[in-house]
Amino acid sequence: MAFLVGGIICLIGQLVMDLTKPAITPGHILVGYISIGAILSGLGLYQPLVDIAGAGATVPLSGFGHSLVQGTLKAVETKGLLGAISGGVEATAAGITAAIVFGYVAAVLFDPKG
Amino acid sequence: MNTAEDRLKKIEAQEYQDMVDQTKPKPTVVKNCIWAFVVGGLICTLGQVIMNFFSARGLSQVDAGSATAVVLVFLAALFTGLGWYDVLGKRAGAGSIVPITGFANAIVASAMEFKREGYIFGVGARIFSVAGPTLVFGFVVAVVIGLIKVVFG
Repeated sequence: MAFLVGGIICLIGQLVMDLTKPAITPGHILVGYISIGAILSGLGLYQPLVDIAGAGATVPLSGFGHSLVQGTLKAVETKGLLGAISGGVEATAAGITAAIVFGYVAAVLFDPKG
Repeated sequence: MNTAEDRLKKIEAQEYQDMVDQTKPKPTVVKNCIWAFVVGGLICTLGQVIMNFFSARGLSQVDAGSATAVVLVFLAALFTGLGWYDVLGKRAGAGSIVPITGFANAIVASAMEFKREGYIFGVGARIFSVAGPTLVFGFVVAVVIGLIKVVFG
């Protein structure tokens, strides 16, 4: 299921890129996926997809938006308003920190090809 | 005289454009979609294998997901540095952009290009040229949803 659902989520992104004129860049795709994933998660529509597809739904960036929102909602239950601010980053801290640290180290160690 | 020449140039440019449009290959949407589907699916499958490994070691579903993201980000940063991820990206399109590996790829690729501006305000700043907007929108949406829950219970 991870293959099928993950593949379909990526295929939708490809359709958006191919069927719209050059205005849509990879950056727009990333921003769009995290935002749409977060909104779907807030509406309660993303968790069912995670239950069915596992990594097929969590590995695409929409799953990152889902983690942000679920972390936020969970923190609101225990900390209220403060949780609304802190919960998202707490839940995604590992991924964000890994991206920044590994990204920085890789960019320093390697030079662009071509 | 001038205007007639200009008009002629315009017509020539138009004819040339028409020729280009006729001869250049049509965008192969179907092929692109198959590539995106297969590569995106495979990256997610790899994610599932890693996630199963962490789950088997006793991590909760959420923690296993986080650990998987860390491993995938590490691999993507490494492969981007080696120049392999971009080779894949040329064929896979969204299949290599949409997974979290694409997020890591965007971070490393943009940061690497700006080494000549230094390690602090070159690499350090450009890391966020794609990651920044992505995180901004993710955080904003998450906080708004959190506030809605605070207000409406």
